[in-house]
Amino acid sequence: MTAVNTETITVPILTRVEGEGGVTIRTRQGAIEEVQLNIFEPPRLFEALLRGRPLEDVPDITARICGICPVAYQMSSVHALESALGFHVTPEIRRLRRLLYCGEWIESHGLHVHLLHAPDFFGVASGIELARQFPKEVQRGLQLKKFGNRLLEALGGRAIHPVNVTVGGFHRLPRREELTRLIPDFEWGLQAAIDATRWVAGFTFPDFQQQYDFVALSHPDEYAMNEGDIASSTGMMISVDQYDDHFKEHHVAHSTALHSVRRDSNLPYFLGPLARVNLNRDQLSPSAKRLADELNFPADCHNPFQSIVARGLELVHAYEESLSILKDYQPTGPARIEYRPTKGAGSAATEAPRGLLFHHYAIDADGKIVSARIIPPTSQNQGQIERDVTDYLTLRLQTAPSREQLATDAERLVRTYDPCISCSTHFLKVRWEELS
Amino acid sequence: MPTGPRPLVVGLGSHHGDDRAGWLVVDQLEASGYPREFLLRIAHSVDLLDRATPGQPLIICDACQGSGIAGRITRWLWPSDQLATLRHCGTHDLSLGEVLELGRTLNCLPGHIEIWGIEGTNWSAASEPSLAVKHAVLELAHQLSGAERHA
Repeated sequence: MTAVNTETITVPILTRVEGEGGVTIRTRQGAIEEVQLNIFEPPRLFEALLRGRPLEDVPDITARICGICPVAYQMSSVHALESALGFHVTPEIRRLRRLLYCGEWIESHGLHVHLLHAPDFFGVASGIELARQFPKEVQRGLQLKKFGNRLLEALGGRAIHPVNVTVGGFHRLPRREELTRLIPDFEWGLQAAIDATRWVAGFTFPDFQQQYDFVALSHPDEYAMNEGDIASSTGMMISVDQYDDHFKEHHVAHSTALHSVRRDSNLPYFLGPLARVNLNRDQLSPSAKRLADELNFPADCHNPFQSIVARGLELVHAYEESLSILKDYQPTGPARIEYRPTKGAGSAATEAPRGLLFHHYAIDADGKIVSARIIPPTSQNQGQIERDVTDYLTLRLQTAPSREQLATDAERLVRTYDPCISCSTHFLKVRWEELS
Repeated sequence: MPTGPRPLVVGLGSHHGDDRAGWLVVDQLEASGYPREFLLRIAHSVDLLDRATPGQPLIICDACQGSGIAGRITRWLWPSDQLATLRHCGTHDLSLGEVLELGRTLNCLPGHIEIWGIEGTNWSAASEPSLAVKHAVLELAHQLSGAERHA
């Protein structure tokens, strides 16, 4: 009887990702048998917390789901609720919402590119070690991030869980000088973002190409953030309220986060900056588009390690769009649109830094939340992450690496997704698995 | 009597239970008249590098875990070997220890950094802090606002 050689490699805690998660890799006879992305965060009870609350509470409560992307939760929630109530905001409010989102992209991408992902390309364990080799680049990254925070403070009221967002618009429009005084910093930031992207584009990327089903919002007139249809690289173009007809969630035993697949193929899909740049490159700002061409960034990039360049391009875009809005800003019109509560239901999807964030709410005639559904990008990406790690490690096995190297390789691939694990759970039946 | 510039007091926290301790200390200091321009609330350790400068003393207030005694207050001076044992709790981007080390590498932090930890036991999402932590917040804020600390 032949003995079967099985082995389990565990990365107990993934470093440099938001929240807490681990990876379990099972091998059999030297081949990768299974990869599990283990989520350790407690189940999020926010969907249940929202039931019975006034709809006005939703942006503030959902912002607490994630410390890194509160604006994304606020934007998806207000757009979904406004859809349920049947009204649209003014063009001025719409522009300010895009400006707020730019602030979040800048803050999140700035951090991830420089301190969380870049270290992997130099074989160092942390941003600290990277700073010893590249102090000017890391300082630049921190400055880029800081100005994103400044924008969130100026428009959102504070950088941590902005308080100025409400259904219908904002509680208060900032005075012109509160925004225009950011212009010098953002002019510096635009060039700095270009320089940073040139820097990361020069990294050595593992040769790993996969066939992905890229999914992102798409809009005919702008680089989609808050509005648009849901598009895919496999030809799908649907309205957001058709989301449930095309995507479904299911529970997997090893994770408290639900996995998502396309209904037609039963396969995972890929969200995030790489998907956005691939699907919407023509809508990038002029400087970002020029830079993508200068860097010969592939028109259809299928290497997840090059997500860092896509984030850099979005940093450039966010700085350039912010500058445009800051320079033109005049606090005219109402800060918010008045509405009357009415029974209804509505969906919305916006592009969080990590990808498409879907919200759906049903409200009663008194304006109370009847039901809420929140599907974060990281949970949607989970199945794709596991598939990628399986395929990448299968490739890496050809070079006979050590267990430690395989574990490091798995971590590095997971980090290309910039997973925000603290967002990625919402309430479901939990079953914990003991690993020996 | 210590003299020198007034310290920047940074409260590090989140909305979840006892992890709000750092923010509450800053809230209490503000209510007691500590100048607002010397107070900062942050959710991510790395954000303290936005405001910290080499010439200004820095005081950081945060929740911590350790002995299991809720409300226990501990003070560290950084750099300190004891801080090597501070584990990364919660969902912050970089741990506080990593951020301080990063700041030192980039020469953007003062030489004098105090870290005050209030021990917590409740970290439930969107919950209120425990009573023991609330009492500790008042005690620590009173201590930090003492006139003898400033020039």
